[in-house]
Amino acid sequence: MLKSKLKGMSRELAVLAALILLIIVFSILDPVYLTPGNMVDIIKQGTINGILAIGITFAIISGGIDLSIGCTFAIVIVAVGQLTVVGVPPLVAIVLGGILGAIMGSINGILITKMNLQPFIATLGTMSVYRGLAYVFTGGWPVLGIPDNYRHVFTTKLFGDVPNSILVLFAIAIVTHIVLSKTRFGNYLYAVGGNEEAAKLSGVNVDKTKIIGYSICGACAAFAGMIMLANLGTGEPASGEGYELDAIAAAAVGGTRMAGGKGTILGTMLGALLLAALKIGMIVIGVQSFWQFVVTGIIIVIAAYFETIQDKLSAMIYKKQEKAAAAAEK
Amino acid sequence: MKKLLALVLAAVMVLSFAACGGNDAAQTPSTDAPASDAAPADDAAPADDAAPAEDEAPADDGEFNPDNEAGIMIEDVRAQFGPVPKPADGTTLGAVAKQFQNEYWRTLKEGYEEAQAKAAEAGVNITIDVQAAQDENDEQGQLAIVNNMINKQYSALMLSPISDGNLVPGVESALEKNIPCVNVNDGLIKNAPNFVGPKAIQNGELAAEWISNKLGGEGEVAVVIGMPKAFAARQRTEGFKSWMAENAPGITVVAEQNADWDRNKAKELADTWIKNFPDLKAIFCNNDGMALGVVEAVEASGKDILVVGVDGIGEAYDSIRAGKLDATIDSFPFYKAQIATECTLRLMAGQELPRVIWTPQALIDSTNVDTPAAEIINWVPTEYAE
Amino acid sequence: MKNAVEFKNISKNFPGVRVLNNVNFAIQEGEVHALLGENGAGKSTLLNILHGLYTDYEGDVYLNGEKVHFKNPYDAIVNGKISKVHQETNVVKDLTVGQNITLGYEPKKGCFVDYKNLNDTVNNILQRLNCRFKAEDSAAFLSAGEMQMVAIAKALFHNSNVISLDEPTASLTTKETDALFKIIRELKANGMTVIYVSHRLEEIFQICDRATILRDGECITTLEIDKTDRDELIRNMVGRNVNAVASRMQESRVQEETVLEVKHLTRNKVFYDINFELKKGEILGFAGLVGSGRTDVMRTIFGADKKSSGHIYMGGKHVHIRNTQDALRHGIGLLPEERKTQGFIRYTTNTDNIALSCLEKFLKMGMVSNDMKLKNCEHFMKELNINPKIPDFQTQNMSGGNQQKVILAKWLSTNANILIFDEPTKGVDVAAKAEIYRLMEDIVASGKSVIVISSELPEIMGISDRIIVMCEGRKTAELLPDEFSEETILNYAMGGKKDAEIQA
Repeated sequence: MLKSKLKGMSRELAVLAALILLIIVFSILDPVYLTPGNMVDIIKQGTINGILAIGITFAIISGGIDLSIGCTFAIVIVAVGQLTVVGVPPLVAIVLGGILGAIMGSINGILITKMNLQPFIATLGTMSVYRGLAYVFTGGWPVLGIPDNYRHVFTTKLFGDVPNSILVLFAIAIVTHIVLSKTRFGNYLYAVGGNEEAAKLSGVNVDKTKIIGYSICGACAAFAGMIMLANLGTGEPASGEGYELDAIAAAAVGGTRMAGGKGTILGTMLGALLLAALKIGMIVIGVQSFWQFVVTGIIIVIAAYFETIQDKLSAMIYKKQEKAAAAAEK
Repeated sequence: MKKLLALVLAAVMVLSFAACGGNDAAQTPSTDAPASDAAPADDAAPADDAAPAEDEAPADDGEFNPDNEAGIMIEDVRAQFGPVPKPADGTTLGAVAKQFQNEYWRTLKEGYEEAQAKAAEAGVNITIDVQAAQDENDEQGQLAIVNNMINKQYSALMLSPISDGNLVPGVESALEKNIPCVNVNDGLIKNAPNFVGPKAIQNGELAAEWISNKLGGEGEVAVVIGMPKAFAARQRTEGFKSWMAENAPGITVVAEQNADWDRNKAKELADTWIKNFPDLKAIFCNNDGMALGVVEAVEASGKDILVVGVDGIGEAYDSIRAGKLDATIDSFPFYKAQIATECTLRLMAGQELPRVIWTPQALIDSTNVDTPAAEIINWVPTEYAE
Repeated sequence: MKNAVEFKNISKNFPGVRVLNNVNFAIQEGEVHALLGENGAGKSTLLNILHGLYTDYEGDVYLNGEKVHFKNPYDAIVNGKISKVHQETNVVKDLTVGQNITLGYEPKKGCFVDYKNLNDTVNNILQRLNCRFKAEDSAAFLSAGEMQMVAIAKALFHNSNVISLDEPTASLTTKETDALFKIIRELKANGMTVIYVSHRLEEIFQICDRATILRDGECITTLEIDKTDRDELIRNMVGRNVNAVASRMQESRVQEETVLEVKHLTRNKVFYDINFELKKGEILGFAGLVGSGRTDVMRTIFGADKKSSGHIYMGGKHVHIRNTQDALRHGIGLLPEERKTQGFIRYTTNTDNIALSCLEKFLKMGMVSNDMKLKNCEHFMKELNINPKIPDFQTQNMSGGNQQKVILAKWLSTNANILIFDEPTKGVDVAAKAEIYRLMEDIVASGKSVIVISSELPEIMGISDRIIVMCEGRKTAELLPDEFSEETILNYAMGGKKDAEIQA
């Protein structure tokens, strides 16, 4: 039973192995790398991308994509920033921010299902709309003077150098993992992404499933934004540009299938941590920024290649099982 | 599974190779004499390297780098040419900025509006139409704005291009129609006859000098670069490093990385540096946004590290007042726009100004943060001839 | 007579399994040679070796007396003059018919494609094949039968001497099948060699000269078709006697109670004014040509497509089925025709595929319980004899018959009491077919009702209590068992005309 469970997680194990190898290699290149501080930093710097990547994993599993998360992120930053500045209690502001993100995500979902738009195009459109609105609301000026009581919600140190935001990351990861693997919605999401027509013909409410998936994606973007707002103490409408690509990269490295139907939160988390470990490692050993692009790109391509050979491998394993089973039958 | 492992190993090997290779590349500039590898401009006109600014203007076929030109300040212009000749009634000037998402450019816009208002007060009726591209990637859109202004037969254009090349065709066609073009700083148009702006390399030098004084000429420092493609980012970094190399041998630049003008990226970069360079004493950032992110990292670490930014945005001033940010280099876009307008009107009147007009910039720290900008740069409003 | 193809001691291993074991036989030039065997017997592997898809095998392949070893399928087509028409034909819908046929080998004029030459050449071939479409036509609107013709035309374009047809009639109508057979006979008359793979034995008797039977990777025998019979073929294929002909083993279970009544159901431009009743315990057959609207009627009843007008009554009550969730709630289940694209979820295990439609049954404290899903899966694997009996197995990697059983298990897990089977035995081997018929009988025996769509007349006549025939979107007949005959059904399926066309 355990063996079969582990086999089901071979992709996650591979990412974990790569992460550990990466840490070993960097530690050999520069022993300074292997300090507790750096290890905590990997998670800290993986937090925002990690939460965004968890969100986009939902969109990708459903067979779509959400390019607008970086902009949802920005709107939530300025909106929640404004709320806290006018004195709304932090926890209320956080709840409202989460709801705002979910609403913006559900708008994407409605465009995709009810208006039957391609997810890429629909979210490309809302990406521009949301970014524009963030500028319109603020006139382009950053929201300044975020009160400390809000910032402390995420930045207070639990112990050592570990801030609350890491706790939020893990809480979101655990909740989304349960949602994806243990709820009817989660089962339906994989079904819709794996084969939309078959899911429909099995009596699954495809539209509802997708809209919920995109709402979760938006809510995750909102939480990532609220953490960044706390970290920086300023809400810039320009923030989050290009973050959607980092999130997609983390999901892809973590084994989420871009065509939908496959992916896990654990994989995505490991993917985000791998990218953060890589980035910090390159900074520590002083790799020039130009090379960082090259190396990150190579890692993503290798991850994609991984996916294809893994498919071949699993197909082979299955064939073998089938023959063995057929033989046993006789 | 074996195949998988083999691949992982291969990936890590590629990575470590790239890491080692990259390492060398990164080390070279910080240990060598720094002036040599900056902008390609330097390679094209090596003669100017030794003593920039004091020399004659370079030959026409060389790449244009205003920092190497013999520019003069606006005070010298006024002394030499007297008050501004009154332009014809209803003169319309076009001003094109990069984008308005950034406070710097919005302030520049306010400066143009101030110039128009001040002219009106002096009884001079001019209109300044200020526009900007949608965002910093909208190179074609910016060119379209310029072409539209040419078609509307504006009297002159003041242009701040997104990249070194995107407005070149616009300037070509404007000059064909005898519309004067002035390149207002940040981003270069090599075929524009005049450039108005601060000496970019100088603001790196100002920051370096200030940090060196504060540290007593010794310690480890680091630089957060903006986008490597941006002229300003290259020159600021260059000015900082070369000043240190020449004047403060006790100071070493231990790290430099780009953070794409992104506040959060700069903060994360600083987080990592602070952990890995325990003796880090100061961080110079190519703009204020990044500097404010770095300030958050420094505060969180509880260490005493100097942070200096560039631009002088309002938030940076507030941060200096609050004792967080240590200094910023303000290049006063509000006044820069007025200087640009004045110079443009002079050119339209046929005055032969030098190619480069320097605009003032100054280091702002806790000592002068509340001093009005006009006082710091001794600003005198434009005077119009009767 | 010369041997066109000869297999000598061919063996092939997949990791851990020997799929072909020392296969020896020859195919003569100019004959139509059937390759028979259950799914997994090794037919596809053998064809893949012949056509250069698998390059790693033991033994030798001879083509016209010469030993060959193709590097890839293109090598086989271009140098070996040997082509394969795939089970699922690959046609690029965005290209024209001519572009599809010449793909990769377009005639050129300078560096441009010479379209005039291309279309002339292709139209010549299409004329030979009696095709109604032209090289210039878009491939997007081809029917399944026409796509088959495109694939054959492609083989002719490459001057192939040997053509393999893998289940060519699986998605063809009777008329299209007849047309295909006519062409096969013509090809044969021109000296071409045809290798024919099909599960439909009646076709083998119509078109083939000899048949080689594979079982579990071994060559069992080669038989002359006119000296053998159906039973002998089946006996050799399965190694045991199976009653593969669809016929009822149990008595009829039809009861008085009407469970479903459809009145004036219309979906504009697709089908019109469909009326019928379904009794409790009944197996109701829907016959008709491909494209007659049978599938559309069922999809509409199931809520997958929108109706334009009409009413549906269940147990005497008027019901509104607006989407598939409504259908599920009212106890209707659909086993779609295209299993791969509509039947099950990719990358998903049997456990999850079976549980998909009734997850609410597996909730434990609001969470979906994997244990309960697993138990349900194991129960049905035993009950329906799904092989391999591995719950973690991904459904996409199973054989057609077992995939069908997984989908059936999904509906049996729900409370559905009306099950609609759309072409349930398409691409399913003989033994699995018989099993599916038995399962349908078990379902009605338990008081549920079944609607079955099938294009195989012996199957639908053998299994149904009543048959409704459709033609061009309209119901043309409702037949009781004593009226069942292939001629009658075909007559109504083709619009009730009684001219010579039917006999041809």
